Amino acid sequence: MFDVQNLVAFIVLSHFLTVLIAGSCIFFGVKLGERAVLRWAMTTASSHVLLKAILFALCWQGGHWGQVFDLGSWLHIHGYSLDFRFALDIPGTSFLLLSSFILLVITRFSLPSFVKDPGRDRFFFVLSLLGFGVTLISLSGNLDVHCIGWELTGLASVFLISFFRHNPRAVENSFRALIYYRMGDVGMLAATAVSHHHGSAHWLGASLLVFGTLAKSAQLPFSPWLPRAVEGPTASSAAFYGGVAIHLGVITLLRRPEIWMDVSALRIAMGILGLATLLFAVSVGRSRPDAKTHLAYASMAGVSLLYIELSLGWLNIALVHLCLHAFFRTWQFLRASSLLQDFQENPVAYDWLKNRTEREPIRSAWRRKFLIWSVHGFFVDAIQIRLTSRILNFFLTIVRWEESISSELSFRMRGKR
Amino acid sequence: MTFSLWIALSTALMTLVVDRLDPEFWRFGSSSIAVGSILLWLAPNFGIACLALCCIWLGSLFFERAGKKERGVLGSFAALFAGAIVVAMALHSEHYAAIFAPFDSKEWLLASEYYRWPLIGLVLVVAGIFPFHGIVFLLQASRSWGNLVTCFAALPGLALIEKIGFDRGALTDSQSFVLFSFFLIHACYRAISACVITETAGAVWAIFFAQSSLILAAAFGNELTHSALLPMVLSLQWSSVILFGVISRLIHIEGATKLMGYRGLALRFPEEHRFFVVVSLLWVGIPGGLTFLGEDILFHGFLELSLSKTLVLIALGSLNVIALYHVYSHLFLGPANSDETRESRLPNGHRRIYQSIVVIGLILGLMPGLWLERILSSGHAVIHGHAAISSP
Repeated sequence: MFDVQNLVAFIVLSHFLTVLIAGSCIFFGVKLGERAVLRWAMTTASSHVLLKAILFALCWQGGHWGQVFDLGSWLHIHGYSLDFRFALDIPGTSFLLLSSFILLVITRFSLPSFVKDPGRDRFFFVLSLLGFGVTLISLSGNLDVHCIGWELTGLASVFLISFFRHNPRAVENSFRALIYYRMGDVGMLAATAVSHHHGSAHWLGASLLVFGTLAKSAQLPFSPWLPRAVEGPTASSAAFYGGVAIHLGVITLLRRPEIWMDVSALRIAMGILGLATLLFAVSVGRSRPDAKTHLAYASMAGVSLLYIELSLGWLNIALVHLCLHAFFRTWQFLRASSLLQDFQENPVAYDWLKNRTEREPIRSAWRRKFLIWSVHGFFVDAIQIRLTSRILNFFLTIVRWEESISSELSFRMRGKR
Repeated sequence: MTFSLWIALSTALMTLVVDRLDPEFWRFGSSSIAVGSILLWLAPNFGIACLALCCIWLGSLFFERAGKKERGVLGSFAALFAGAIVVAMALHSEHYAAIFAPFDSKEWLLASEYYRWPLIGLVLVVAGIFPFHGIVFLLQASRSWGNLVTCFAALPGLALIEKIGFDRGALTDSQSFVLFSFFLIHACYRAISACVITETAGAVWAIFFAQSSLILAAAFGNELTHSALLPMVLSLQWSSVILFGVISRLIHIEGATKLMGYRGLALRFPEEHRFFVVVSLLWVGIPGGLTFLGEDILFHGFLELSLSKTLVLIALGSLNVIALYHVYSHLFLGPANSDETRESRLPNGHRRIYQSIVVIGLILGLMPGLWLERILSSGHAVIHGHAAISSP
């Protein structure tokens, strides 16, 4: 009844149109009623789940895994063409279904929060942008299409971190997150370039791909952005840093094992970085007082476990773990805002919290020092900030020097006239 | 139509739009810059291009601002003149090339390797590239934003590169490397300095020059990178018109000259905020825009030549995104500094112009098959659309 290729085209097109319509309404200043926006958000999210469930079922039943097809060419000049190539594989379609379901849950969860909120159009537009980006990443058949999705998800994430525009901390953190995201984008674009140049299985392309995914997955040394990114609405934090966006790096590696699996040194490096991030996230996360930051570190630790599994070559286990982790973290993030009430209403949880807070003081000097280092995040953030500010200060000196010379010159020129 | 004619046409249209947006634009010096910028692209040879450059620089540096009375007369005259030139040249391009042939001084200029070094210097000066970028600071202090956009968004450096034939092997390998390196150094320097410049317009100008350096670097590639020039130049011209239009308005109303701390202008200027976000994202190569199209072709073109150059260009493109977000966040986000909470409305004329530019840009960026492939398949719209010259 359904042709898989047409269904994929329809899914991509419907996501694109959702983004286009929502974006146009904001751009042209079309004020839609509150109920219309909320209904639109729910309808599109549900229909996308339905379409993706049908696609998954068809692939499962008909054995369409591994099928690659072109949905046309975007550009064809001087022998170079950028094709809209899509591929169906188990990790991609599974994550596609999973992410759309999580986005539906988050849309439903956030409906009451956005009643009488003027930012609702913006919120649902950015969620639809995330949905489009994830769809491209999950179905892409080449790295070019993958890169488009990769950039769009990064953009959506930055917009949601700075959702509360009036909050200077949110704005500052969105800027920090953007810097790390762009590093990830550079890695992905460069990997695409190398794969075009040297073929897909080249150590440089593999290293750049892993570099890009590490930045997006907040693994060391790119970890500091994640706890800062939970500034946005809780629902968006659940979507980005609990369920969907944080796993994009892993799903990229799961979908393209042919690029990195044969580079043994890279796998060892991935394993070491994953282990280091796990230790880092667990120890720093335990020292954080607020629920959302604590959960952000927990997400980081979960993803670092996935990297360890990937480095060991356990791809199937990693996929199952990813799906369970995404659901579990989404649930935790969504419950985060009612945590206090939970503790009050649940006697078991209340006792546990009481025991935690009434612990004996730490007597060992080494443990105290370790705790202080954990509170400071092992100075990873501080070192990076200091390094960046040194570079910027150098440029600031040059710029000020230039500005003083030019103002002197323009003053003299005006004087002569 | 050749590549030069496309850029000349776009420059002429841009001049007319800038005239509508910048109330201080049309002065005698401004008309000289506008006409010079258009003529520079239409010039069939290096001699005429030099005359056009003289028009631009005389207008930029020496003519004082005239009184308001002259505005209507001179503005209309210059706009008509610019339009007439474009139409005439488009219709009679072959005759026109023949008429000006005696002015062609390229052969003897390129005869000796040593003559080319001053020409390289000239390209760096007119393009405002390091170490001659100080000229931009000087002009910024004395001219309106419209003058500067007409002067630099017409990319006089690229026009000279095309007229002299630097992109077609007129330079030795070492000279090409020097010029290319200057473009990359400048792109990197301006993108980083945009994050530390405290003046709003100055920061956007820094990003503008970082982007234009990437475009100039594209001229030193192959046929594919030359194909990237048209979308990138169009994007640079039209995005800069909107961005500087918005910024000048904000500076005029709010006095937002400095980027120290957050200003939170999104609350008071929602329309300007919308246009700034969309245009700046499209300008720095977010999927869907003309720059993304141009950069995609550019990276793949350079990939055929050198992997290292491609990686550097990718990194520079990303730096520009960071720099522009820095400007955006300081200008529009954060707590509002002013007690004034009333929303300011953009004039209808401005809104219509901005909306048309964004919609056209998006259509062109999303559907390159409709225009770019057709133009390129006709074989004329790459940078060396003119008759081939003999390389020395």
